[in-house]
Amino acid sequence: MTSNGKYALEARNLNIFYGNFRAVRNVSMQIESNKITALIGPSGCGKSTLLRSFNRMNDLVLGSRADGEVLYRGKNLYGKDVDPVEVRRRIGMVFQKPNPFPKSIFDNIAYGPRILGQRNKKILAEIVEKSLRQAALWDDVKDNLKKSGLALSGGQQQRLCIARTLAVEPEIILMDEPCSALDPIATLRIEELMRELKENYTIIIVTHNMQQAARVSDYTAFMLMGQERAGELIEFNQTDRIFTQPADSRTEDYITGRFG
Amino acid sequence: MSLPENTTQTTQFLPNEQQMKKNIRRRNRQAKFWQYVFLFSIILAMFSLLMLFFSIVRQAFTYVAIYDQVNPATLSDKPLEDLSKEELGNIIETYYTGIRTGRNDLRTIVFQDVLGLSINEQDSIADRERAKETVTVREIFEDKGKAYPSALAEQSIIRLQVADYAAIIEENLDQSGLYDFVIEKVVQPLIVDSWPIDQYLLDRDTIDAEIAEAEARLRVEKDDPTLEVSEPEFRSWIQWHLLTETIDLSRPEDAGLRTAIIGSIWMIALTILIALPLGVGAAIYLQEYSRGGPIARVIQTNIDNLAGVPSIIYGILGLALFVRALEKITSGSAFGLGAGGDTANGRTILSASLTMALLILPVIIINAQEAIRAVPDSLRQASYGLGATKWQTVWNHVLPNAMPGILTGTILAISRAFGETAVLVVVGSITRITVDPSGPFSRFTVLPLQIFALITQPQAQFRNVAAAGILLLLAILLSLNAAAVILRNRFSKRAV
Repeated sequence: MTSNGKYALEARNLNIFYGNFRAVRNVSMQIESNKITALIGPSGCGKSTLLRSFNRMNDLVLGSRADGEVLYRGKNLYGKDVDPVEVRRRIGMVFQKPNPFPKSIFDNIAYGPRILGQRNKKILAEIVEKSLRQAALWDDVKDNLKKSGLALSGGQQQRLCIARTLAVEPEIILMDEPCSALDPIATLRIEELMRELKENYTIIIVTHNMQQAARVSDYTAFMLMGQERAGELIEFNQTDRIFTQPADSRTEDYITGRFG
Repeated sequence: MSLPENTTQTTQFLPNEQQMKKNIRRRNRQAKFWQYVFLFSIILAMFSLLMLFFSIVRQAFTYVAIYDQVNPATLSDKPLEDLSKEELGNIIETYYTGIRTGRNDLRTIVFQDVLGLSINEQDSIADRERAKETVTVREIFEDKGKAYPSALAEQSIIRLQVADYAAIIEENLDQSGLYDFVIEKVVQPLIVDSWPIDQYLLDRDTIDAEIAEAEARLRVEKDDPTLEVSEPEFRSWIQWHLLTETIDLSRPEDAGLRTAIIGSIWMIALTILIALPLGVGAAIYLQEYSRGGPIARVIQTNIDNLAGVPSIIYGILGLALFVRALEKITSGSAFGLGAGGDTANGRTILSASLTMALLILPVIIINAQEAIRAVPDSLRQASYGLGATKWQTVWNHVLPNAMPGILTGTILAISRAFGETAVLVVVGSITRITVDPSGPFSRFTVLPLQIFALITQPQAQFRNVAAAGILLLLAILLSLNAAAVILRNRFSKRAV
């Protein structure tokens, strides 16, 4: 998976609505390939909404609507001829709470390839092993792939979910607070994993944990609730700069813990 | 039991310690009171259930008094069970010679019970005989592999005499078989009266008086001063022939419920086949596809309300729609099928099942919706996140995880349909039918209706048959439910 162009995703004047409520206002940002981009900000600032708009998961919410463009390889994801089913295969997602299917570990990972049309058992087994290795879970589970995914620990479940996402060979992985339900050790392992994965994938992560953003991300976007409670992008820059010399005083207030 | 007094601190906004101590007792008393109220309601419910069950069971297991229509003492000096084969054969011969239709009766017994000939086979024998052909005993008996006295080999099978038929029966049964035959066909014991088992245990005097009275009455009626009514003997009305025999409204001891059982099973099977896919489909659409617009809300409200509509109204709908308007389809005539000479019109199993499906559809939809709603959204999101389509998500995740709940709802709905009567009365089920339904286009009856027909019979013993029928109904219902529960548990296990 080589990077094509410098930017994996580009949002242009993106507005997201739930019914009449504008959740995200006028966000424009460019997300670099093979980097980890963190979205931070206080609760309710629209960072999850923004993240979910990148693979059209918001379409599943009744009454949601997006205005503006999200460009992927020069193509607007919200264009008329774009099928969200295709988008979500290319741009995978890991959720806040580990959500393995109530099936075996093997079936959890093989599900994606199967629904996409891969029926060959040998190839499926290969995919399962490769994905589990990539997600650093193979050694833990290789002897009982038949075990239910729900029988794993929280951290293992989340890595299973990452492996499941990897199995459909996405280009970009969206992570919505992937560590918020995990203990510190499991969190560290996921962070380590993210660093390994960025070799091959572009990662966008929403996090409440500023240390985490500082530790793992290359770029950080700070969002804040603005007028009419709509989320706005306040500042977007390299992580070092955001945490050392923020351009906006609100960013500084937030990262130094003065509010939020 | 109380805590030591708090001397360092007095309460500020609460009542003082003394008052609180008092009201703690009052609050506990209140709690106890309600606990007993709830306990009482459970006891009451259990008691009613037990009474219900008891009142059925006591009718299904009774003591009966019997008298023999032909006194065995007049047949032989010895007790019947000690007689040899020849002596029993003689009794049969004598008895059937004595009655006018004896020869025909015996021939029917030989054809149906000994040879097991179908109606068609009997007709073809009669046709060949009418064409002056002789159908020999040898031909038919060797074809069926039954024994026959060699002297009769070349004779026409339908022109034998009473003695010949009796000899054939004697040839084919052993001593105990012949004894049973004599008891059933010759002695013909008849139940005079029946008493619930609890009455037998507690109130023998009344029973003895009633027996004596019945005996006196019968002696006058039959003009036989030696006639005897037996002592009360135990009889379970739950007998194998309930399953194998059809309804017989002349002899309660022989009445079976086969036609009704088959009718009920046909109806329920068809109803599930129609209602389950439709109901689950509707629920999936409403939960997963519908965008929740005003039309969807109207539909939803209607479904919720339909679940409470009295069943008789569904019956009237079924009568107008399926029995009358769609008669061509529901009678099967549109497909060239149907009951042929038997004019079922639209009053078929299909009509009943369609109506019943309408009746339970709201229940199934509502329960399925509930089950689908309970599937965690995270599973859907995970599936969509991998690039699954809506259908793939529904089929692979929503349905399997909702299945236990859907099945629970279906169990409830089926139980309701199984015991339903009002709908079927209107749609045109018949109670006095002795022909098994052969398919969706047959006329039919169902167990609850048959039970009702039995209870309304004047002869008291039919109530015993009805009680046995009710127990049978409960047993079938419970096994249906058990099957569904097992199925549900298998689904739940697979889901984890």
